[in-house]
Amino acid sequence: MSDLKKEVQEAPLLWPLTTIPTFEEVYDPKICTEASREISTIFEGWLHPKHEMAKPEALGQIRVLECGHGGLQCNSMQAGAYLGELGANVIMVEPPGGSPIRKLVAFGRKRYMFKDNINGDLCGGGFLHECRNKQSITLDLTKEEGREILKKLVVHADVLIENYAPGQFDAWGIGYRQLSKINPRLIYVWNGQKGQWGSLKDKPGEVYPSSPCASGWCHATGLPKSFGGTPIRSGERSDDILCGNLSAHGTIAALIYREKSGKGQFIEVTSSEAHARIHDYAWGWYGMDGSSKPRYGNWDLAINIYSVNPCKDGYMMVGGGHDRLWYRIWKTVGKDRPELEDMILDEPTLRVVIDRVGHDQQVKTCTILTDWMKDYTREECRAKLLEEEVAAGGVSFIDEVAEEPHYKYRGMVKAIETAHYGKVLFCGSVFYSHRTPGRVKDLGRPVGYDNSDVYRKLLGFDTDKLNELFAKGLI
Amino acid sequence: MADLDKLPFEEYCKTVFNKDTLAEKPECLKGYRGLSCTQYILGPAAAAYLGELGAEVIKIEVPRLGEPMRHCSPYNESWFYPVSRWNPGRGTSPAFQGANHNEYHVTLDYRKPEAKEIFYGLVQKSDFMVWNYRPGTFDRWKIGYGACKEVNPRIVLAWCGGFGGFGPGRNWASYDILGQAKGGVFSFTGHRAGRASAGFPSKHTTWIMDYSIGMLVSTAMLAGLYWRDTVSNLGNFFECSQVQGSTRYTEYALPLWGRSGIVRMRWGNWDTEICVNGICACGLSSYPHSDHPAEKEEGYICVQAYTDEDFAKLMTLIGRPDLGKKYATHDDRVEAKAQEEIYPAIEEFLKDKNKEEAARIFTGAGIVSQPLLTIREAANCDHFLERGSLGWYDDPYYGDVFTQKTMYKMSDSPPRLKHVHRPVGSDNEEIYQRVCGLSADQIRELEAKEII
Amino acid sequence: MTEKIKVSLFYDCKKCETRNFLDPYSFWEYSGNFKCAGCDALYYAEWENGQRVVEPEAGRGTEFILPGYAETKDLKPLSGEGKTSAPPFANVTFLGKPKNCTVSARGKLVACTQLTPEDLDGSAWKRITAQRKYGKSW
Repeated sequence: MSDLKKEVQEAPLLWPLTTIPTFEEVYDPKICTEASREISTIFEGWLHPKHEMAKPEALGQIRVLECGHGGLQCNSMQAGAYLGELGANVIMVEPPGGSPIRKLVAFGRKRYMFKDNINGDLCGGGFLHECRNKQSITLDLTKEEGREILKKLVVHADVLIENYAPGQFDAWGIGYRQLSKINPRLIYVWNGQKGQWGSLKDKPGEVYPSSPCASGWCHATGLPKSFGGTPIRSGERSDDILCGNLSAHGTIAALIYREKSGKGQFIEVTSSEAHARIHDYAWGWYGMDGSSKPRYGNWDLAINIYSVNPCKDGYMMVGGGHDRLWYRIWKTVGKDRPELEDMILDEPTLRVVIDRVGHDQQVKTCTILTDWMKDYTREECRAKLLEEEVAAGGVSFIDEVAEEPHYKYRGMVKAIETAHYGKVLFCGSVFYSHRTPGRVKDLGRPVGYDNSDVYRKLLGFDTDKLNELFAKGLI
Repeated sequence: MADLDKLPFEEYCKTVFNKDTLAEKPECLKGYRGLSCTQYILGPAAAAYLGELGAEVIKIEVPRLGEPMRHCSPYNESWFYPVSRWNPGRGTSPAFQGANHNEYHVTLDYRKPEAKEIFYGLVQKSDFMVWNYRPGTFDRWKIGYGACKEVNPRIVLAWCGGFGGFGPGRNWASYDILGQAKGGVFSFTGHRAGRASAGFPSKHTTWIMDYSIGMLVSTAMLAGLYWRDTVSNLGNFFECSQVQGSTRYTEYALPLWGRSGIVRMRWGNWDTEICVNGICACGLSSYPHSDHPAEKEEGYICVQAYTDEDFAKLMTLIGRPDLGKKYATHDDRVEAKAQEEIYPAIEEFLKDKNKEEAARIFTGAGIVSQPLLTIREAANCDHFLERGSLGWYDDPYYGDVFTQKTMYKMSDSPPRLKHVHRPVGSDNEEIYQRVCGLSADQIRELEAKEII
Repeated sequence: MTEKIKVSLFYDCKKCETRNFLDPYSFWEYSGNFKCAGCDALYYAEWENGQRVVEPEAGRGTEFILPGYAETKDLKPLSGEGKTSAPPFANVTFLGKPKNCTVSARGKLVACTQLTPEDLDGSAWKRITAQRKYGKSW
């Protein structure tokens, strides 16, 4: 790994380090039944991403103005990423000089950033990864003249997504109330942490992880205090990502509705409510008798075994809630350590599924299981458990994820030669489809690269006009 | 309505997103019908989000006891009865509630040969279908995409599962936390190595991968329906895998690794890219005299002061202007070593305060903060109740339940909650008669034979 | 060839034969004392990457942590305050089995109690449907 010290900007792509399996290797008759090969061939014919570029796009007729670049929240950017994958023409409206999100990089280390081949600007990996099929124009919305230009752009857009402070766009005269008069078919999406109204409404500059703190999520994640733990936030910006998911969801729902009504509407998607929505049994449990869901670390309050525990070289997930899998797990353990299997089978409180969920039972179960796992690596544990068809897997670091043959084969982890940032490794679109797959055509876009193209095409601005705007600092 | 333009912005929002007038407004997916042949959370969530938008979603479960998610309750304590009219002594767990809103519940045993015709009858009248059985299962039973598109060429189908329907890992079983683990997000969530007894990867508190991939599947189906109805008049098939969702969320990890060999690691409650933006422990509990276990613990608060001005203000506030000078620029303070100096200083300041007091002090100084609310506090938080995201609900089957209500707000055709969930097979008569045209006798006969 | 694999994460107390379960998240890299849940004896041991590298011997000093769970030789549980690490509680009362409630946390009727076939009206609890004065359909 002699390239480690080199800057990312100059470094070549270090992937794949192992070969990607071929069709013949994956479906070799020695390891695969004829029926399985047959059905997989059909599935691949429908779904394999190698066919994706030739297929139509579900949202090919939609144009999106992604204005969520006033601050550091990543929710609007995420929404635009999904809409871009599905084929919409997403135009990022960035402040002159570029979106502040471009500047985000781990520990501020410039050597981790990517450089574009047009302006030589640096861009963080997070922004790059979500800048999928997007165009970039610049526009200074803090100035009245800039906002007048936005109002002209909106005539040509189907969707506008923004995440500025609550009421900011409205105060500037470009909120939903005002823009819907210019384009009644506009779908306007506001993203935020907690809301643009309400007792906890967003303060300017508020970012993740304010949202999971407000919704009770963070408090319920991590080890219990009695085991030495504290609440913990997720490594990734999970709320902002969920908010982006739901924004894409709501946008398309509004597009469907617009076909009947002929009108757009105002949509508000917040990160904290996205998280509260998916908090599963926490709310029903509270309603029943005031129970407040506690932290349970890497174990699960409702299912045993469904947990992650340490093993020789890392952490291992094993799942098997009901009988069928439960006995297979212990059969696997029993092959190496028969006394451990006996300990489980002898225990009367572990015989019935619903009795296993108690805390004492969980400690006993996980301790015994881990006593077995401590002598084996993740791969060894997994291979043994897979023999009995138990769902199990090690906690993988990103380098292991990037080299996993299954992911490479499916095109889940892949690399493309981007137009402006060299070869970039990324995760492909989740939307595999027979007819309209999601796809990534390009990653990243230099700041303002499409100023000339978009302003000319949509607003008829010629070179003189653009130069004038640039001189005034509007683009 | 013209007055809407004159209202102050917050009043305007309260009016157009008013939770009490949801039912007066039309629905996005009125007239759409779909099938949810799913279990656990991944598949059901995908269909449930569409049910919230107004589609008529029919959930198909195994006769008598229904699907396994009904039977997993935290601590085995919380149940809603009956699970079905055949088993009134058993209940449904609240875990079922988040992913099965607004649905009609019928039963059908796919393995029985008679079930196929009934199933085709439902498929012909549906716009979409979600299923998450193992890849190939439905195809073997001749009710997968290949068969369904012959029966109804306009149907939009979605299969979601652990590792996808093809490739070397297609037969691997999967759960949500396996998706978290094998996809990469698990490896950088949790306290850093080195913190006594807590330096290990941490799973999310609930099945986030299931729910969020369900959202993506749901989005894919909406895109498929939109494309069908505006462009092509053709059905579609989407396949989404759970583990890919997890990798999709790894932000900068893959691009960075691909060009530098650097592996993203855990960074605890702090932020790798923004400083100050972290969760700090307060020294005191907010309810020192309470018996309730959720209230005995000391509080936590999220502090955000990442502009140079705010950071300087924060450091002065906590009595450490030296740190304010030392790390005056963002590049200085976001480095790992700087964060290791800054956050303990903030926690030192919070040692003798509870989270409410800390929030008051920070707000007074103009610094953004958010105390960590427990579930109890969030459930009683005006903000969510007023906005209608959480709330008490008078469910027609179960009575007074507290539940999550709407995923987002829309001004003209908002999603809404109609009922939380229903017992197994409670809508057999209704659906099989109204949608499939079976007579009451036929339905009774099928039930007796446990075909439905 | 088959060297019996050493046990790391549970320990049978030499004095009272209580089996103490030393849960992985507390003991994986621990060096120090733990207290037997059966007889309060202090034992000192060391773990490295989950392997017990110093077998339990007489305790050193007075600090200790508790095992996650413990049971007697005939499998009777020995958990509780002062004996094992406290489980995370969700509420003041902890049952670990179905809690039968007929009213919600704010005191209104809710179907959280086990029912019999006589209690049913169709697929719902009679008392819920009785609250409605009109026809049966939903």
